[in-house]
Amino acid sequence: MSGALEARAVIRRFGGLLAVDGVSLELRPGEIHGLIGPNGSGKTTLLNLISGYYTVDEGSIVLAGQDVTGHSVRDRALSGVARTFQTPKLVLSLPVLDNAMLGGWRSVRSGFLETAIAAPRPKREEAEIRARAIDILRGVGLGQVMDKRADLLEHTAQRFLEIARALTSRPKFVLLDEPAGGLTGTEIQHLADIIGVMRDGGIGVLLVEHHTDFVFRVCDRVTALNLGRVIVHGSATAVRNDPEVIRVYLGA
Amino acid sequence: MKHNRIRPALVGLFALLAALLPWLTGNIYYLHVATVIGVYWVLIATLNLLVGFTGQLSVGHVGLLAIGAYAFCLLAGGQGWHPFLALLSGGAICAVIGLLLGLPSLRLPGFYFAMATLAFGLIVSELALAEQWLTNGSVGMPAPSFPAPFDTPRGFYWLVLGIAGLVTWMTSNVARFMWGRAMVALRDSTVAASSVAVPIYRTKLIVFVFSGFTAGIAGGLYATSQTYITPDAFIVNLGIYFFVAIIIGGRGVIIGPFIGAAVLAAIPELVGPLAKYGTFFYGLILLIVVLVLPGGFGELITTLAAKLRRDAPSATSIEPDLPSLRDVIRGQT
Amino acid sequence: MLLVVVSGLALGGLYGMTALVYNVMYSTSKVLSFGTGQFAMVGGICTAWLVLDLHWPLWAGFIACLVSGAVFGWLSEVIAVRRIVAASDEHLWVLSTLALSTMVQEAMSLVWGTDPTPFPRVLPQEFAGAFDQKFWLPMILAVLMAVGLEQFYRRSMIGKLFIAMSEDSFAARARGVATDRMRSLSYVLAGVLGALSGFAGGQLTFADFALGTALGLSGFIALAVGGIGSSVGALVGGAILGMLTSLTTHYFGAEYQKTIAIGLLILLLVVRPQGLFGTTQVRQV
Repeated sequence: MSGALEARAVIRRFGGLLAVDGVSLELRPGEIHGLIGPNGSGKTTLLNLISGYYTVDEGSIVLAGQDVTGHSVRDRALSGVARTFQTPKLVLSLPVLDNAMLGGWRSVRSGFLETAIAAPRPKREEAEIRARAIDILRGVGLGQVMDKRADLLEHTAQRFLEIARALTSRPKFVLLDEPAGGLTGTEIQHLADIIGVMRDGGIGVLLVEHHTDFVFRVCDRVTALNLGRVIVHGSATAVRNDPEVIRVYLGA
Repeated sequence: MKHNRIRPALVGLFALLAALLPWLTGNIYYLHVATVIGVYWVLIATLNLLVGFTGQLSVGHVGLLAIGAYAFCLLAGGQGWHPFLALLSGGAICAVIGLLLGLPSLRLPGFYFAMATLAFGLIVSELALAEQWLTNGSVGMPAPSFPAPFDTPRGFYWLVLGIAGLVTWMTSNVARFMWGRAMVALRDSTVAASSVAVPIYRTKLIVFVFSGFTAGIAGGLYATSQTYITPDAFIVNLGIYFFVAIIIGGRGVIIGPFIGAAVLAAIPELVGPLAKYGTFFYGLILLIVVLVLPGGFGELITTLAAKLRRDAPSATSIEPDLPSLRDVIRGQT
Repeated sequence: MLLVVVSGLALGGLYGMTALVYNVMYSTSKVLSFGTGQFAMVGGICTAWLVLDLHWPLWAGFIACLVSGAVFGWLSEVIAVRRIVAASDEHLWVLSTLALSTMVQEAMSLVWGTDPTPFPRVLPQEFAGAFDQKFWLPMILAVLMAVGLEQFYRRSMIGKLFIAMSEDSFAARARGVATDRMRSLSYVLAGVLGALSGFAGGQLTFADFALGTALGLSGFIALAVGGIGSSVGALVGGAILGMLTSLTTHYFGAEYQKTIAIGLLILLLVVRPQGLFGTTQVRQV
């Protein structure tokens, strides 16, 4: 499908272990796609393969019809693929606003020397990115703490900050790596609302999660993995009621 | 990166005092010390971008200072070039050498890179001594002076002040716009940096080459300030001094390293007979700062300021504003 | 020509031993200490001072040399490494070990002076030339040290604990290994070995305060060429660098030693970053 971010029959080994065994997944723009599976099922590995932190052994990654399998993390970020991490990777010595503004690097065209002489273009880009980041921070609920250093934020706020950074980059796709980890019920609801707004805005969201109720509540489609293979994929309701999924999660 | 009305006012005041220094003190010696601090600062300001912002620990940058100094003396003295042309050429030569040095070594992890630059610094001082046909070996060579009005101590001081001011302006511009954030991200979290598409290797290289250029210029100015250069002016200990000034001044800050540089330069001049203990104390200060206050005094000040503003790590209540979030996202894709 | 080869291998032995010392500290702390070369310097100067100036018997000087290495090893762990390893910012150890190394070197230059002084003869020997002990001591000792370390890692409990820590220090700590004490012990061992290499190489290098930085750099190049974590690599890397240095000095003169050495390092790191015998490590997200 055009415009989608896909993994096609991807295989990845670690030593003798087959972590991801012929997995295909299609993330469409304007959908929330859940990726679930028990520990060791290969979810995070697949996420790392799609975002470029691991290279595939076989298979391909395709973005809007273009093969990006060989592309670096940076190239994929430039193409509009943003992600968050299981443990937030923030620049702890910078304030919240600056962390969010980092997401705007993708749209910076000014060079080093141009910036050094404070030419009009860098000033304009700075103002634009700042305005966008401020709006997004307010949007996700961090408007009160914009000047606080990132290392003074508690865990939940750091997670939301990572999402804000991702959004500042005007992404086409956002890959969320277990964003609900450590969040309270209310916070999870906020997260769900934010993800919904992202989807409504046309962003394709991949949600890798352990909290299966959260996934089934929020997602349009779900792919379920076990031991590196896809058990089933389809609409959230269909996957939730799939006997194999039930067996893997509730069975022996 | 923070807006502040106090800061520009302080900077303006300082610039005024600096410009008036030759009249505030009649002492030629103090003027000379101030000039040397200014020259060092031309190098340290951009080295700060490399070490403090981008986190590349270049211990041997003094090698570029040496090359700049010798290039200047050879071109303006021996070859009879106009001093300003020679100065810029020295800068250009060092930029190229910085490129050649940086291309292989910036791919390496921190310790390897530090070692590579240390080796570079040692090689330059080794070659300065050995290549007598070029450098006169241990005899050294005289440094030409600049044309009037910069040939008096006062005039030269203002030249250095002007160049230092220009370099400071440029580095603080880079620091407060997106490039500055990208550099700090690179230093603290390469994962974060690459996830927002910061070109890690290219950024390091650009900063390294830029710092090479200004080091070369600083070299030429240094030569004139000393009127005569010999290889033992450029020992590795000087490189460590640059380094320490930045670290104790605070990484990621502009003002801090300047204060660090000024203090560390002034101390040996003022304590006279204790000067030979200088390098030992630099090491001691560096050790203490690293153990107790890794962010340097710059961080101490910002932490204190944050404490005064009661910026405690309190719990934030997160209340998303969904409608405006919707607007922002819709407005962009 | 024999002299060139022999002195190259002797230097190689010295560099190889320094690389081994790097390895020992790295195994338990993942730190490459800037002060690695200083153990040899301290040991050498300590021996020269006690034996030549204070007229101690050689065996006493030898023991004191090893003790001085042990003390400095212990100090460098306590001062420069322990707190840094616990903190989150990993690169600080580069600065702290650099700071400590600078302090040690400067203190030595102030106390001892800056002129290199001759080192006492270890074994009674009348003739010089290619069979001079100043060449053979470092060579033999380097091999003995490498073999000894390998046996230590394989056979002794503590050695195996070092290996465990180097592969996964979290797991080691979870299994009850007193990682702080092991690290401290490894640094003491490193100090002793470093001082020993200074004793063995003293006749070749002279007791010189500047030895530490030069040896730290050369030993590091030997380490990088051979690959971190490999004792064989340390010896091979040292031998290659030593021979290259000796040949360069013979044909081109002593001024280009460092240039050639760093050229070798950069060439190797571009072509094969993990060294000849090292293993690649990948761990990011």
